[in-house]
Amino acid sequence: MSKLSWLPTRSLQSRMLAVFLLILAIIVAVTLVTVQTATYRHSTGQVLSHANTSAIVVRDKMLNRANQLMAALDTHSKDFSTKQLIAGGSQDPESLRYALDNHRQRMDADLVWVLDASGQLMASTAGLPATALELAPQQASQRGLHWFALAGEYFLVKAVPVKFVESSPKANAWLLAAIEAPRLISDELVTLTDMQISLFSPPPEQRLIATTFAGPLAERLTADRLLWNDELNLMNLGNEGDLEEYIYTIEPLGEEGQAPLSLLLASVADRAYLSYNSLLGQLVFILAASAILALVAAIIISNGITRPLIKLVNVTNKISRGQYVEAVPDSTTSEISSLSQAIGNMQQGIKQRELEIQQLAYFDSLTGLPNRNQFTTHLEQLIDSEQTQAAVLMMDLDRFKDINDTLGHSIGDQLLKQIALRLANLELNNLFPARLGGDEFGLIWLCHEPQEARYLAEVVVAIFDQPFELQTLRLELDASVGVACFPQDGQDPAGLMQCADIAMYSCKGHHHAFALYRPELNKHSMQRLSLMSELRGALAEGQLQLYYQPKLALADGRVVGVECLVRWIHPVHGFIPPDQFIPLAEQTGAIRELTHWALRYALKQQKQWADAGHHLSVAVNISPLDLVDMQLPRHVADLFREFNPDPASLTLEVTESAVMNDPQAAIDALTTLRDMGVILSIDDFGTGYSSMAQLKNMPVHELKIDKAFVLDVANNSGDKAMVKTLVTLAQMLGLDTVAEGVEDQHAMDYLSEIGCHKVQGFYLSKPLPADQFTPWLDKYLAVSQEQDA
Amino acid sequence: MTYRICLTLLALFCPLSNAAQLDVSVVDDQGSPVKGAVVYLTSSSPLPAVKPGTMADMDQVKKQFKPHILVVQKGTQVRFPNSDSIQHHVYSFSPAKPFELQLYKDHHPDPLMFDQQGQVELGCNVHDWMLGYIMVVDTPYFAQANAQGLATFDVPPGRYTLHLRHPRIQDDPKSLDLPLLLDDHTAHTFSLQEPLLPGLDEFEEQTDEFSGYE
Repeated sequence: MSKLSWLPTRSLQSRMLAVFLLILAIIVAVTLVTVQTATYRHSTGQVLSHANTSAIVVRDKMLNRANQLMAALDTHSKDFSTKQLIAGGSQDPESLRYALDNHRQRMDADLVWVLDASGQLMASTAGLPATALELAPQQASQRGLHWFALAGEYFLVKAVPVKFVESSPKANAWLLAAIEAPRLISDELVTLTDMQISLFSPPPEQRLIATTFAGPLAERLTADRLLWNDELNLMNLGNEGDLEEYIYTIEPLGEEGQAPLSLLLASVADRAYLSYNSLLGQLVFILAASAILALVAAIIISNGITRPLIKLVNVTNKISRGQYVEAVPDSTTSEISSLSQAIGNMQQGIKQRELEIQQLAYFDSLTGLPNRNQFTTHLEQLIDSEQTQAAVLMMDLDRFKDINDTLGHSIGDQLLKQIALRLANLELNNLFPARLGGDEFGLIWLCHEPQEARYLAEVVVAIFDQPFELQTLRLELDASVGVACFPQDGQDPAGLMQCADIAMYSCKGHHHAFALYRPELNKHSMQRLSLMSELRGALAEGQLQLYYQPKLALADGRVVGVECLVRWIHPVHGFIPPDQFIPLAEQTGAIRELTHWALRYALKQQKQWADAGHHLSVAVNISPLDLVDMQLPRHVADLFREFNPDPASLTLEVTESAVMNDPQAAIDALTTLRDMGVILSIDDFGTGYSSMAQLKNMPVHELKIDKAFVLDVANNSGDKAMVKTLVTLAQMLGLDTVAEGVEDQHAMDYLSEIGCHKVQGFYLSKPLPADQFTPWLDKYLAVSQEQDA
Repeated sequence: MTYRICLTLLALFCPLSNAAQLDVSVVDDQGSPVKGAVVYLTSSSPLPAVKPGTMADMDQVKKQFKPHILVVQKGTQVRFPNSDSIQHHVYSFSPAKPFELQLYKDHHPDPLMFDQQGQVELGCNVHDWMLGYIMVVDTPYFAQANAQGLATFDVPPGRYTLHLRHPRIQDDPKSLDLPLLLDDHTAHTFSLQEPLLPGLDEFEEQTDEFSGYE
């Protein structure tokens, strides 16, 4: 193609036509030039040949006339009476003159005269110029055309000797006759030759003697207009502007050795080239006709190529727009046919790959459900289709990560598949379930009333009523479900999904099965979401610290340990209370990392103290979520290996609710920890409405009496009774007791009195960072030693 | 050689001592003998006139004049018999004797008197090829060259002017007039300078062609 880049157009058809036309034009031009040249040469040859022939005809005609004259003279010269008259001419010239005139008329000559043997004029017809006597009769007696200028006029002169006795060797006289040259140029010659005949005198005069041209043309026919060569030439005899072209040739007319006259033969140029012109016309017509035919053929051929090509281009464009065609148009041209097949194959291939890609792009490979992409797209389409009402549901499995971690990913995957199956089997019209990623599912339901959103949520929650059977396992599973409604809660997919998400998270903290989105949820969620996202970063950046609150053994007044409390000093928000971010951490699952971090930090600090000579037990709060699997025991084991502490110097404090949510798992975990030698403590005991039966089974060592009972225990008899009961209960169960929230000596005294083992509270110290705790401990030890002393 | 033998023969046949003998030889520019060339002698002194009633014949035989050249002394009468079976129309426009004779078979017109010297050219109006001459000389001493171009005179000795004439000769006539003194035996050769005009020889050869017209 690049070779044809000089062509102005890029279209194949145009290029083909252009090349075709170019070649055609060259052929036509070459043919025209060749034929024209050849024909012109031929025609010129014809014209020249015609002119030559005409010249021969004219010469022959004149020669005939000369011979005729000669013959007539000869006859007259042999006439006896003529001889008598000539012989008696000197005596009777008058008779001779009349006889000569008679002969002149018979011969149609202009002049006749007789010379005697010595060349003296004997007699003549009227008007004989004196110069006539100068010409030698012998010369005029030869055959041929002999021109003589007599008194400025040109004559054809013939002479015969007159012999009184024919056989006599000597001429007795000469008989001469002359015809004026112009009389030899007749219209008959024009008829014979089909040319205009003109006679010119010899050079240098070259005067027009006679012509067959009519008046005005004859006037313009002058020697200086002519080219005096023997070729074909053109002359214009027309008036100004009136073109009348003649083609002419000039031939000598006369005998050699004598200045011959010039014979000019002329023909109208158009007439001369008539056959040439008509031949040329026919040729041009044939070429034009063949050019049109060739053009039509070129168009047909190029159409034969380009039309299928254009069809193929259209098909390809369709394919590129994603509109697949049934059949790619075929062509009889083999190259295009193979192109067509190639396009067909390509379409097939694209189709196949598109299906695969679509599958990958829009479907979740594990569950076969649509993925987040398609979910979003579907939602978009739904909004664009001006659907009046729809519910968007987001669902997140509770503690799925734990299942994955403890039971393995294959179990997790099977679980997800079963959930997907259940979702897919929901008997709701126009339901669009999708797996959005991880343990998150989404549903779009075209409903009619906003109230129906609740129904959807209920239906979805209901699929978790039945446990999931996985190989040998039966899993009870809960999910958090949030629902947002279109168009009330949002007008775009992102907004709707965010609303549903917010609703879902709101129910996570509250152990509701589902939540419908309300605008107020959003307010919390904004700060919460921001904190949630910052929490992990805060861990890494050291924004979180452990504060230590001492625990005092009432029996000997020794500081036996510390409770480790997490503090978040946010660079912007400042101090963030644990009851704000701990639930968040629990919702996002960050609590586990937080627990791990706290454990490591505490044990590390414990080791530092131990190295400094302070042997303190550390108590770390753990979340119920830490107990859903066996990760915590493993982590604790890892830390033990790392820091090598006395296992009994680590106390893990758990709330009652931890055991209540999933008692068996929690108990399993706790039992493992207890077996490792870890001290387990039930935190906030007395507030959780714990089941006594469960308490019995719990593998714990101590109970921590909630500060709500302790704060005012010195003054409040109800609290006193409660605390005493709790302590007694613990003693009965063989458990140690720790009272927190001790704020004065009275409370401490009372607790000591009723047999509580340890206390902690502001009376001793508020929670202190590590660098303040050591000085406090040193001071406390110093004071107590003083007291002891 | 031939010439010498001729002279010897002439000497043998001319024993007259009171007469002079003149031998004339005529050759053309090529050296060929000119047959029929007319030679005659004139003299300032009177010469014998023709005898009255002298006749000569110019016949037409086979559509030719016979003889081709007839030499007669002035005052001779010439007859024109017609030996052919056809008609002739003999004429002459020569100033010496213009005439016109219609000659029929067995018709014998009167003889014509040629009393002016000069060359009379004869033609036949119906047979263009016919050409004859009658040379009228004012002397009794004339002769014609034979086939060898020789002519012989026996004349009284004296002063003469020798003339050579022939229609074919183009030489200036004056160069062919030669004064000479004859006493015994004189020989003279004319060598012509100019070529001869086309002549009777060729013409005679052509006659056979025309015989077919009889």
